[in-house]
Amino acid sequence: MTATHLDVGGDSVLQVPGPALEAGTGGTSVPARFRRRAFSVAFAAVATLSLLVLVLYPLITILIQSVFPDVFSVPASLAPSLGSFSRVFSTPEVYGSMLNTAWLGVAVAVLGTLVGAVVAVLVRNTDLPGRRVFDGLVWITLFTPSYLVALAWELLFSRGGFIDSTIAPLPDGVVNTIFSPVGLAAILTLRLFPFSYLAVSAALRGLGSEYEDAARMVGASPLRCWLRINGPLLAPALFAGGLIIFAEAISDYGTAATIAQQAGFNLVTYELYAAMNNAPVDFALTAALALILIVAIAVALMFQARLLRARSYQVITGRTRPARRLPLRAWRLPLTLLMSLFFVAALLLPLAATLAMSFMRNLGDGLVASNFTLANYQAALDAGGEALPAIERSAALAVGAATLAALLGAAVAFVVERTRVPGRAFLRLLTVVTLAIPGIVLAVGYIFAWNQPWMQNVFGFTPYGTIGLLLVAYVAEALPFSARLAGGALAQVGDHLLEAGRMAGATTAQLFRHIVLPVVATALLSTWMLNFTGTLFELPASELLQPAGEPPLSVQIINQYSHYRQGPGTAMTIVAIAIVAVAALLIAGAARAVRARGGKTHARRGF
Amino acid sequence: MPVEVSSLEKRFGTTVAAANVNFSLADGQLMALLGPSGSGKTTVLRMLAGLERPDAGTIAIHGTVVFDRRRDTAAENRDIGMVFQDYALWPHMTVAQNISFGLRLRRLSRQATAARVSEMLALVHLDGLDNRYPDQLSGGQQQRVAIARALASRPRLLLLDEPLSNLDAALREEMRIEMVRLLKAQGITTIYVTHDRIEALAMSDKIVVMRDGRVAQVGTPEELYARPSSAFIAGFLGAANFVAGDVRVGQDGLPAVHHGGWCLRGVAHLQLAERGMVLLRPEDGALFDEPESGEGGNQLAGNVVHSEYLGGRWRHVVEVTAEISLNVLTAQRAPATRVWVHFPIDRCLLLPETA
Repeated sequence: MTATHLDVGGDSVLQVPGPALEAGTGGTSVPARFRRRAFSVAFAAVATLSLLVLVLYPLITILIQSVFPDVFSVPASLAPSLGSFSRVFSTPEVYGSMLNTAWLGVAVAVLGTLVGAVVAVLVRNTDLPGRRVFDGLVWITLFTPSYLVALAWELLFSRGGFIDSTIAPLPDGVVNTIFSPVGLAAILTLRLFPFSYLAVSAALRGLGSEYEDAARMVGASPLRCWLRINGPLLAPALFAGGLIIFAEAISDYGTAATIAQQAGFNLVTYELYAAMNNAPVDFALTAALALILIVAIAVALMFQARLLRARSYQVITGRTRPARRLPLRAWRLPLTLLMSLFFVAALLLPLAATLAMSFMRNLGDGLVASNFTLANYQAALDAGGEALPAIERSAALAVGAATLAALLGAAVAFVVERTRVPGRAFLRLLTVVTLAIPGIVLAVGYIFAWNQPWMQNVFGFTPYGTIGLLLVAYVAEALPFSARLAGGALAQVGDHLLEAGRMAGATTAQLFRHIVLPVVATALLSTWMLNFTGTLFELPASELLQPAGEPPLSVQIINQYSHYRQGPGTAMTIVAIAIVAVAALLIAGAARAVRARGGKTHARRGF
Repeated sequence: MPVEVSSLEKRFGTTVAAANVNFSLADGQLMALLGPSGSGKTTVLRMLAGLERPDAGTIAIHGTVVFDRRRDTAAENRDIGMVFQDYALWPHMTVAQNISFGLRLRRLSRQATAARVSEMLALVHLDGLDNRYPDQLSGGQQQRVAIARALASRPRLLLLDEPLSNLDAALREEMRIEMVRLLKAQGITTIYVTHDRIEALAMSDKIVVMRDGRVAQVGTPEELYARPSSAFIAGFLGAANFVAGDVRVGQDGLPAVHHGGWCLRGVAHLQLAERGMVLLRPEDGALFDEPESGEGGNQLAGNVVHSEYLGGRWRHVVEVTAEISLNVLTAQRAPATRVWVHFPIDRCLLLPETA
């Protein structure tokens, strides 16, 4: 998944108190109550089991592997050792990747926070034209896979790339800067600034204009209002956004595997991939490195959660007067241009480069008529080739994973929000914690967990290397996020809504069908859509868990690029984007249909 | 005059928030801007504060023009204190920091600031709470901190935007009394926005009633209550029954409203046209089980369709005709189901008819 830490506004989404569904059982017959109870327990069992097996078990194997280096070997040994951790710090390559990752994380956090804050203030608090468009573009940026952007930048800025061959030869300095840690930080900043944007936007909405008005009434100038009142009040949101960006930056595998490699800049996420792929494989060291990455992310997110809860910063007023939009006056035009330029660089330029390349024979020959071809699409859609099977494979996997994750996520959310099953607090914690696990780490855990010798004897096969396990890994990656979104949607179905339905004579099944489903369905559909997109382009688990001879789409795209077959690679990308667009249209239509039918039902039944 | 507002105009898109607003205020007076929600009262207050820019008009404070066609003094330079509806206490500052913020901006020395903060805290009875954060205070305490903050730098004018609306009923009454005493003791000129007629009547020296962005009437509380300029004002300032009909002047020289055979006489302070309405206050009514003889008052016969006990008094709904249904407050139960309602003529007010 590309976006995992979406809860920029604190964990309010999860904190929805209220009596459970079972509370309204007064007056129902005993068997019905028993059935409902059995239903809840079964639900809870499925939800818990799926989280335990899909997410917790692989993570625990990482922990075990890191301190018991030979626990999964043949013969197995339970001899504990911290040697793996000392090897992490004494192997220059590994240690170097940690330093690089830390540097990159901090740089991107600072840059992304600033960019996100500026964009948020411009969009939320000024009369900038096209604010809604910019807001939509931020969301698209949030869900764009980082490796696709990075690959597009390679098309644009590499020696012999678009700019070089079509516009003007790029000076060495520019090329070297793009393919350097600086360029890497720039790409990640463009990718991750939305987290700061969302955090600051939420804070700006809560801030309103009254605090500023009150300051002006006791004599503070507008500048001083920002320095002494708005600034300090927005600071927690800035830091919180920065910490999420840090966590996302050090988790990112897409750029680590592409532009960072071009820049010769080794990062932890790539080191994890390489360590599992290059002989001799040091499982213990890989596990230790994964654990260190998890801890770094966890620490960042813990600070973020604490910041959002800090009491002295709580904004107490309920009704806030919406902030006055600052007139930009003479700055209106230049700032609009600047913002447009920014999104051109972040989104439009990479997309345009990918699209153009997909119709070209040779990158180096530039944008000339003689270079035009449809061969890339023929290759991409050739039933006998390698591209189409990969597209079909990933599309099927994405449909499966999106559906399973959305349903399981809804089950988990239902158990957490609407039942009194014991252990639901643990379940909630688990979804929060696993939101933060990078895809590459989960994939490493999957190798440890599902590649064990005893499985051959027990199951008759080893799950690792099967397409089934890849599907399960995709589900695991999408599950925490799905549970989060479903939880937010379920929270909208207030207890009074259900109680009113019950008073009108609805059974549990009718409540679910006529009240819960129409309200939650839209959220489920959009969750499905996000899962589908995320899985279709998923890279880290695809790389590590792909079955032999059956590469997923993302792996195939990367392979094409690395063999200088950018034409077919971009054509595949465009085809996949088209699939996403069609799916989005279908889902939007379905959401409209559900809303319309739900509304009609309500009217007829008088609910 | 400490405050003079003339011809103030403000539009938001096509909505008229304020049109031709005029009023003035004497030194130390407490004035209420009263009106239903959406009447433009808060907009007028914010224009006085400098937080909203008028489209036209003039605002002068203590003889200094702060807004006209050429001037627009920034809010921070108008020397006005303001208490916001939600108090807007800065949540990242302690009580003392909230109060001292404006003082420090005025480059008051550290000692002088501390002294003034203590003085203000004592004034609002919050001594010792200097280091609390706003979220550690009750609603009433927050409100007092907001007043202390607004008064700390000795402004020339104090503006309050529905400061009691966020308090519960019991506390609201208590704070109302305390606030009037405090403001009167400070002698500060105050403008106060409210939609609560009781608050406006009880607190103010002067009331400006607003409706649809216009000033409907200006006067002392007693003037407005006794001589409302329209049925709207009469109804807004207190419970009221209206009976509309043709206006004729009787033999005794008193004008009367004729409606369905009933003749209701009263006093008029406004020019009446052919049609008019008579205002009958519920508390002026009395119920009898037979018609009163003599020339004492207006009488209407009707059926008591509903009675409710309000503690110490009763409210009755008396249906006279299908169109006339009267609210009457009495100390006793209704004497019968078929009653005669009696209103003294000198308490009945004749007003021009409005829709």
